[in-house]
Amino acid sequence: MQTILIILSQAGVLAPLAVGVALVYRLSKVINFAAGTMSVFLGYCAASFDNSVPGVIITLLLGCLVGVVGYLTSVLPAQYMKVPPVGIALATLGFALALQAAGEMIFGGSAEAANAWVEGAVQFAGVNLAYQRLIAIGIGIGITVLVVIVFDRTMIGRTMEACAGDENLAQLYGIRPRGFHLLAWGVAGACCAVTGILQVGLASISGPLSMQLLNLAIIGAVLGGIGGLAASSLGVLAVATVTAVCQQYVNSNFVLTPILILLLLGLLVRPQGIFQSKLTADRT
Amino acid sequence: MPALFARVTKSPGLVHLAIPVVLVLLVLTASNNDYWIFLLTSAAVAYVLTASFNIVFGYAGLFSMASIAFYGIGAYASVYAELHWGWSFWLATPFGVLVAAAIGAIVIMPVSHLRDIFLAIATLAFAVAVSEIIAQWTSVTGGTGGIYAITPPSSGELTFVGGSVSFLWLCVAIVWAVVELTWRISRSAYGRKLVTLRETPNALAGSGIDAGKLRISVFALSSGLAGLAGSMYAHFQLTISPEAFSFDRLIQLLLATVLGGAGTFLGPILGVIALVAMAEIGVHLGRAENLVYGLAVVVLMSVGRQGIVGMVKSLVSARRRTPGPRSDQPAAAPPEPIPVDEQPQASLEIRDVSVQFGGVRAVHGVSLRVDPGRVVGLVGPNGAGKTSLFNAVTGEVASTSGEVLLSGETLDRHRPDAVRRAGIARTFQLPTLVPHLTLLENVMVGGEIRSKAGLARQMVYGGATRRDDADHRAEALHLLNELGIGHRADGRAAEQPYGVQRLAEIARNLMLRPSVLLLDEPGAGLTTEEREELRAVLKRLRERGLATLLIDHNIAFVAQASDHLAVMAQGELIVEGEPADVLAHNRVIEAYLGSAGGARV
Repeated sequence: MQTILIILSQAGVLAPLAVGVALVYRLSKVINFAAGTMSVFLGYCAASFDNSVPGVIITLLLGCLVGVVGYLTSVLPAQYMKVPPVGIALATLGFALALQAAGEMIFGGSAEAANAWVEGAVQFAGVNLAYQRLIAIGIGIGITVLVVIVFDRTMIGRTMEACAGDENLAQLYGIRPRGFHLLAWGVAGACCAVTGILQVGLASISGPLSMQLLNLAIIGAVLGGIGGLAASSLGVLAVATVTAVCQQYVNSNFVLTPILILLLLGLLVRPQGIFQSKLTADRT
Repeated sequence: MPALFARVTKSPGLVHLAIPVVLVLLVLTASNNDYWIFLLTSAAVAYVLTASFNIVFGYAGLFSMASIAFYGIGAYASVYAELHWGWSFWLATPFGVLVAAAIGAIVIMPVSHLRDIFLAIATLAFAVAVSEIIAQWTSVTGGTGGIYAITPPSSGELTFVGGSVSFLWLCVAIVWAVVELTWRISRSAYGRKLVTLRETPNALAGSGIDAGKLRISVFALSSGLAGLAGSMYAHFQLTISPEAFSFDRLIQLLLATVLGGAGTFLGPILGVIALVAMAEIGVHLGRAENLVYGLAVVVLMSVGRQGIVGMVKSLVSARRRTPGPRSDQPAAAPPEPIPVDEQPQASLEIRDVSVQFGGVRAVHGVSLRVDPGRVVGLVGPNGAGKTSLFNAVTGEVASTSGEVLLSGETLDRHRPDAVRRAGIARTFQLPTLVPHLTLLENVMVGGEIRSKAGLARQMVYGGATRRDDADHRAEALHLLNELGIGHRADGRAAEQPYGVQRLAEIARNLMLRPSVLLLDEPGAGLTTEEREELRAVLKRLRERGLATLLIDHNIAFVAQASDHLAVMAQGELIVEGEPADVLAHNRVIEAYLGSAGGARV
């Protein structure tokens, strides 16, 4: 039960981040290497408000703003200059560096944590379940499902898919692709904020965590199938499961090595993603 | 200043010759100043690491984020060999290089088919896992504390202590060797293949080159060089810990490559100089250092992939405004034509070939024969299955049934590059030239199939490889002249008109010295004059004794150019024979225009 709880809480924290990465990739074929740093920056922001409700709202709005700024500074000019996606991904890495430096200047470099929203715990099947952890799991899963529904099941998602497929054609039908890019990056920024808020409420947040969050989220998204939002979030669940099981039963010191093995196996056996249809994959 | 840059960028040979002189002068100038010695040694290590990444990312276009891991592997492997086996630096460093190269080759194998960004993620995961293993494998790596008191290299009485002038001389010698290697790669057939892999990977298989083998070789080479940098670093600092191979170092590596200009000979040199300058400025900026780094990456990536070199080149070309290679004026007189007297002769026989995609039957039981010195035209409405038949013959798609025979022997069609080597060349509906290479270099890529030197010898660009290169250059120029585009040989492919690109693609295929040539819509998009030139080319191919199978939608063009005409409709071969007879056949008219009864309805 304890292991399941750890898996769910880790997946709950990472799933919004992975969905944000997948959303940006789906529209612009760019991997946002700044996602981990954005989460940490926004986590610091939430911590500075001690995770209060107004602070959370401000952090979410700031997340949208950071996402939009990331797009306008590191993606839009490069797209205009017809830089290939790999180059744009490098530009997002530059944005991550700049944001990390800004974070250190504003918030300092030490680890930060915030008070729990609800204190206390409940006993279930002999295990102590903290209310904060249960809330974090619920919020993480809820937000992820909401984003998946909005961008997979509604007209917004279908229009975004049209932009992803052929921007010129989409424009002929009266769609404004740039607006959808801004929307995707704004939502991705908010998703990073959710991850930062949940992380700072459950444990603590610090600069080096950004790389770990980024790795776990991207590997999860690629493993699941980065072309799909639901597939990406399920990939993160797989990563959280392998990490927790290995830490619990194999060696607690190795977090990332089992994931590398899982990723290589996934790429060998099912390169389009474990949870992704072969027909919609485009990675080889 | 731009004029100086123009000379440098136009004649990098000058830079190549000047580099050892500059290196010696730098060491002599810095030899009395400890800080400058430290700075130059750091720059030397950074250059080797950046050059390793430039080869794999800049030239080959493989976005590997594992370079930093191989840097660490080389460092730890060489130090381990010294501490546990008592090896000297001179043995331990090559060992570190080999271990890094071998692991690099193994790592790339399962993921080499991945597209750029996914390859980056797979290699990033590898790098992170390596850093975790280094931190946890205490008995070998010393864990997070690292390894201290590393023995400095020595030779006789001379000891090369990190931070001393003697060690700087050692580093400078290594840098010179790496510069020389990079220089040779940038000029060699190996370099051309890497650029092809980066820009038009499909053209590799089309030229009979095994792209997988090329990827593994360049990854191993880059990993080995990163390992060399790692060993240099370990013996410079005389201590190593996981922090030295962290994400921050990776960022610096990416930044130096991008700053200087990925995929250029001068890029890593300029990138490292810029990085050292920025680090010096960063000392005064404190926490804002990363902010400046980050903004620099954003700005430079927005400008393009060729960094400082690219910007200078743009400035220079904007200032010069001289007529480029697009000029139609013939260049200097071409060398004496080389007689192509080794034209192999073979007949192609397609026997009962079928291709099925799921429930769609693209080709159904097609049989066709093309003899040497004959041009067979293949026409049919859109969707008739003509290109699918080509793809099945050349191994681009697997056929469901049937066989293809070359001079009576069944052809193994599992890999397109193997089909090319067997003697069947083909063009595609859109020309697959490498935009960054000149027409001459594009055609030379086709000659690689006959290179006597292997990949390793091509990398060092020795005498045999240079002779190969000279032969290929002469033959490629001859072919371009034969096709009437020799005066454009030195123009970049991307800058050439469509018709010229078409002809250059045919020339590249002829460089393979095939016995059979399949041309897929070579006349599409050409003007009337260009189509006439193409018809003359086809006539010459026939005279060379080549068996040619030609697809085109211009019926009049195909009928005039062909000795024999075949018509496909709905995946089947419906009629074949003399062009005039075939075109008058009722089934052909029906396939194109529909039946008279159908029209009435």
